[in-house]
Amino acid sequence: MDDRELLELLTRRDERGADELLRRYGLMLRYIIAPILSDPREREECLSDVVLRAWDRAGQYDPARGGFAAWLSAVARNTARNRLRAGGADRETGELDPTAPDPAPGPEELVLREERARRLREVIQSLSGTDRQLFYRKYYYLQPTAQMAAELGLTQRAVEGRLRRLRLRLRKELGGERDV
Amino acid sequence: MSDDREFDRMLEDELSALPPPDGAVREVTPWRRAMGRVVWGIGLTTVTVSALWLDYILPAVGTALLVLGFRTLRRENRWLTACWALSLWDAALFFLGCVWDSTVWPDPPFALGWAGRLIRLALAFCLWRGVRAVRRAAGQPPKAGAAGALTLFLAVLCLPTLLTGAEVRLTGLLLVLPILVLYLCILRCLARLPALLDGVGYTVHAAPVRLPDGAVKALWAAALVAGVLLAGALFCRYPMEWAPVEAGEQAGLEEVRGDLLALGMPEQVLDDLAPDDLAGLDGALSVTVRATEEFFSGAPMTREEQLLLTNVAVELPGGHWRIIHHFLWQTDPGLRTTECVKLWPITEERLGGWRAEEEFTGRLLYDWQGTTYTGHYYRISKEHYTSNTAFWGETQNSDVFAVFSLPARGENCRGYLIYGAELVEEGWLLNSWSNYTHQVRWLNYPAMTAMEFDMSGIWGSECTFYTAQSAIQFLPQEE
Repeated sequence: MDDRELLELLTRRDERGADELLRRYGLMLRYIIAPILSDPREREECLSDVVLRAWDRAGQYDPARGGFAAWLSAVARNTARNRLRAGGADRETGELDPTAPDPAPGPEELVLREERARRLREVIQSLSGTDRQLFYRKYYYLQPTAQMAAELGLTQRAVEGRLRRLRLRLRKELGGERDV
Repeated sequence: MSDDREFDRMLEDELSALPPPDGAVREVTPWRRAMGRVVWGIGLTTVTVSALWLDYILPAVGTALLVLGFRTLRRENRWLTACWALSLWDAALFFLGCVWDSTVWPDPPFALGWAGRLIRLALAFCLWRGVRAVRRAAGQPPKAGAAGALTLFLAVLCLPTLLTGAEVRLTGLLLVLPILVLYLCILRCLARLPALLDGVGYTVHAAPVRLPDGAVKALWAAALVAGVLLAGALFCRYPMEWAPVEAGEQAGLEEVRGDLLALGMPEQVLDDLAPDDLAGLDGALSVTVRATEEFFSGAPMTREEQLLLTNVAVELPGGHWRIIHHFLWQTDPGLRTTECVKLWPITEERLGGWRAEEEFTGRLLYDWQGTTYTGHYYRISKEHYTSNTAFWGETQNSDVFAVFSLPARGENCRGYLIYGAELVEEGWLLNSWSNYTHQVRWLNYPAMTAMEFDMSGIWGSECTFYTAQSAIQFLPQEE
């Protein structure tokens, strides 16, 4: 079964789709989730969330924007990160502050975000092969230094040094602060 | 630090809307990079392209890729650990072979090549088992057909050598072509292995490293270059023994010497003759001399080394002759690696009228700080060999070679070869040739000796060696 057939099953909400999704991409999804969530139980729950989201949102997948594996990895990464943040917020405050301002961005901030995203895309494209890999592993997949070092054939110290230089460069080119 | 953390969080947030492209997603795996290196390593270490040193460069790259690939996978299972150990052994053997090839020693022992082949076979077997184990651990059916096919292929190729106990070279298009096609098919299947295992590869845990990949590559390249240069510099010459010439060694032979001088023997040649060789010329009836000067032009082309070649035929009573081929470097010889003098004596089998009398002998001399030193040739022997030249094609030859190295320092480097012949039938030409081969360009890898160059039949102005020919030819009755 290829990705197209798998998508058809998911879109039709056929139960075999979820099984096939786990069979084909389960190991990849676990690989993506593992560095973000440390608790094994939470990882399993997150994996279930990812499958559920893929099941629900398979119709939103647009092949023109990238491969199915890339879309699925984005779903897994964002789901795991949301769980991480939700868990962190719970631990910090226990409950939501009713007096907190509305987190939804205003029109001006939306324009600024667009501009920042464009600049970030340009910076990513200008990175060397290894730096781009490090960038995605660090900031997108949230992998720990030891994992990055082992998989890229570098020492942890070398990875830390490269990341430091990378951060300096990004700060210089992106302005450094969210609202600048 | 908190500022950095804030910046990192901001990037993490923004990247939620900027997922990596497909290519970047495929790269983020612990398996693909390592397996890609292993597959490339296997391909590069088994394919031989004999041009522009690619038969060394490609396997060197392949060996490094194998080591790096298995280094990442070494802690996954015991089979892949074995692959890592075997790849290190393979690298050590490759290093030894490269260094060996930069010396003028004979070919490396058969066991060395055989060990290398067995290591490759064992490595293919362990890779097959290792990939199966990875798949099994990931809950997939344990199969790795390409690696298994490679193991079988290498085992079959080892069989002839195993059965005969000697190196067996496959020749003939009908035999080699199917094997090559089969091998390419296996490599093609192997190339698909990393992609095929992408699913299960996510379970692999990459092993940490103490030296970054870049440092390993740089060290490997530096070790190879240093090893080859060092061994090439230290072992590019024959071991020679030199001793000062004894004062008055020609004492008691003044009369013979005087007679030969009167008959026209060059004084330099006379001075260089060993007492026994000089004594053998007692009673000479005539002396015929042919001398030529040869220029060895190497790189840079402005430098020229001048060699004086003097060929002397001495007639003795009863139809006996002594032929002397003498050489003298009139300038610095330049590169002092290996030299060879090949003789085409008058007693060659295809010529008639002459019968060989005495063995080929001679000696070498040079001057250093007012003292003259002498030494024996490293070897004087008759060699049977096959050469392949543009002019004559493949020919079987049998020639006398005198091989030696000039002293590392010293001037007026010189020497001679002498042999005896008897004229058994009148009317035959006295026709004796010497071919002096000298290295003129420093780049000589894999190292070839002057004798090997001469035997190879290679010819051209851009060669590492240059051969100067000189001869003495005349009809004895006419001189």
